[in-house]
Amino acid sequence: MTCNLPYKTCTLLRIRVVLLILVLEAGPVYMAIALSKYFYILVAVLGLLCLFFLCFYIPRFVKSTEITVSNDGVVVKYGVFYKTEKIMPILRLIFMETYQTPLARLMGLCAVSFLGAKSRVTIPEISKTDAEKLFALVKGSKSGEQNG
Amino acid sequence: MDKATIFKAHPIYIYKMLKRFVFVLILPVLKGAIQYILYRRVSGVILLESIALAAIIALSVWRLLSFKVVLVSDNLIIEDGVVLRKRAVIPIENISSIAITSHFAIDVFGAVNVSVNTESGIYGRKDFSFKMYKKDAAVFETMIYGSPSQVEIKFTPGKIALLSATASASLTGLIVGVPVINRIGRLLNVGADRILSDITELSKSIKSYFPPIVNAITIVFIAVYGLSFLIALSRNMFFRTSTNNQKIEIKSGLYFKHKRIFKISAVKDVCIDQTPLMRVFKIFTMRVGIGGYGGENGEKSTIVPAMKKRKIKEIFSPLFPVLAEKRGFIYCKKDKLTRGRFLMLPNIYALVILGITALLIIFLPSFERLFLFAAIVSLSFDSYYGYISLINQKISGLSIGKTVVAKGVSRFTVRELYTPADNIGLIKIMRTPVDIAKNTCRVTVQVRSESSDSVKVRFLPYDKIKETINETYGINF
Repeated sequence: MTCNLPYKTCTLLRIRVVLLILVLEAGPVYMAIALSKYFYILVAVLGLLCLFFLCFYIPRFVKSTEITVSNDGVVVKYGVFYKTEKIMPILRLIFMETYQTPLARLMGLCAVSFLGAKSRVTIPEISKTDAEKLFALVKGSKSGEQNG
Repeated sequence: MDKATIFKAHPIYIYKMLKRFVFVLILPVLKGAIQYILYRRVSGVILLESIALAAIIALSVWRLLSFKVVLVSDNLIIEDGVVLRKRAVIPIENISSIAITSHFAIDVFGAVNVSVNTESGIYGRKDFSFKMYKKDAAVFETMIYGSPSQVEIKFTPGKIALLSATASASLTGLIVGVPVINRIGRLLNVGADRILSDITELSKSIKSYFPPIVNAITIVFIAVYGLSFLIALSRNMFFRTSTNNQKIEIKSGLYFKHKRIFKISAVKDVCIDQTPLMRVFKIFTMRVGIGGYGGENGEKSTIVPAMKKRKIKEIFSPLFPVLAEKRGFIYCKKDKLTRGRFLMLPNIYALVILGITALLIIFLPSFERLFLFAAIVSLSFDSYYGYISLINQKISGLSIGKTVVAKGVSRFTVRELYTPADNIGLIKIMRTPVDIAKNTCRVTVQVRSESSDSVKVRFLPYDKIKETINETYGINF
């Protein structure tokens, strides 16, 4: 089974970046008003960084992420500038975990981690239905691998 | 669909969530409340602190209520968290061990600490740790590990004392004892300087060749070692091992009760060790390495505190067949040249100690007796090192086949490591220029697990080792 991240994940990541930038901007804005107008440069830089992530990086990151579950293992590919592939053989898988922040819960998404001995492969937020399917598929592949 | 069994956390689990706020929030708010009641006086930030505390308590209660442990369809599901909700699905066959511990402070509330460990997670830390009702913990344990153990082995107080003496260290006593003495001193209005002056007076009253500071250091070390021994003894008291051929249970403790359970199939290797103290009584201790054992005991669990080796093998060979298999060993040579090689380091250390002592006495003659004391202690350790090196020559050997058995000495402890060949993670072969000339090598075998037990065997014939590794693993080098 191969799946990509849903569009909702793109929206969630964008919301997180906006919230983060707002928190980071608070300090420079205050200092720009109270101390020196030159702090507006820092505000502008952070704003441009926010635009870069919203319009360029996040959509490409979500598009580049590919999750494949087979009888041999779990493969997660991602990356915009640096392409990364994480491979975990099925037999080395110990257990699976899901994580949900309040925002992700509202949008029906959860992050999934596959844990092995001293290793972990984490998939960013996918829909809960897809997460359940992945769990069932991994469990089925693991028992098939162990019996065969 | 299989029926799900749900366990909730004990209410006392809330303490774990509030622990980090005790000194920064809970105590200041309590102090503010008491001040208001007694003196009708309120500090400026007390309102803010009270609101923060109320919010944290509300979140903690919500987290406590939403925590659950579910057993369904051969899976253990642990759900935790409120803001960041975590859900872990662990196949029961992948659980390495369960530890159930309690002490009098939580015993009165009918609670126990339960920790679940797998081969995953951070080394030395429990993977999942929570508090349950005692009766729930008993049901939980039975559902995961099946019927209770049938065969129980108890150990005499003397053997438990020996294990505790071996497990004790002055450093542990120092780390535990100093803050406790400091706290007690403050409560009794006895300052640390008064305690130190009492020790100094006592050490001055002891007539010996060595200066009073030597007596003081000795008194302190004996005292902290004694404290460490008492702590280890209270943890190991009533030590007993039980089994039903599928799992092993180890129970111990007087005030702090520990119960550890693991499947025999989770055991990676078996070590039979003999510490210097055990050597005096000619007994051994047996411990096993378990993948993902975790927690304060690290990756290893002691199964037998102290017993004769023959008896250990007799009792535990049915559970661990690796102990009983017949095998051929590769040993080092027993000639004078090899003995000289084993004694090389102890001789060098002896010369260095004597040299440094002589130089120090020449340059600082007023501290002659102190340096002599330090030299005597160091040479005693070095003599024992020389003795144990001779034992190392006598016993060290390696067998590589279906089972790997390595016998050697590791930091003054004589060790025999037994493990199936498949569980070996690494075989390291090192050759110094002298080894190359004599066609010998030093072999370290390491078990494939998070903390990896290992044994180094020295001066073995290199060609024979190559041949045996090729036969067992099909590797040519």
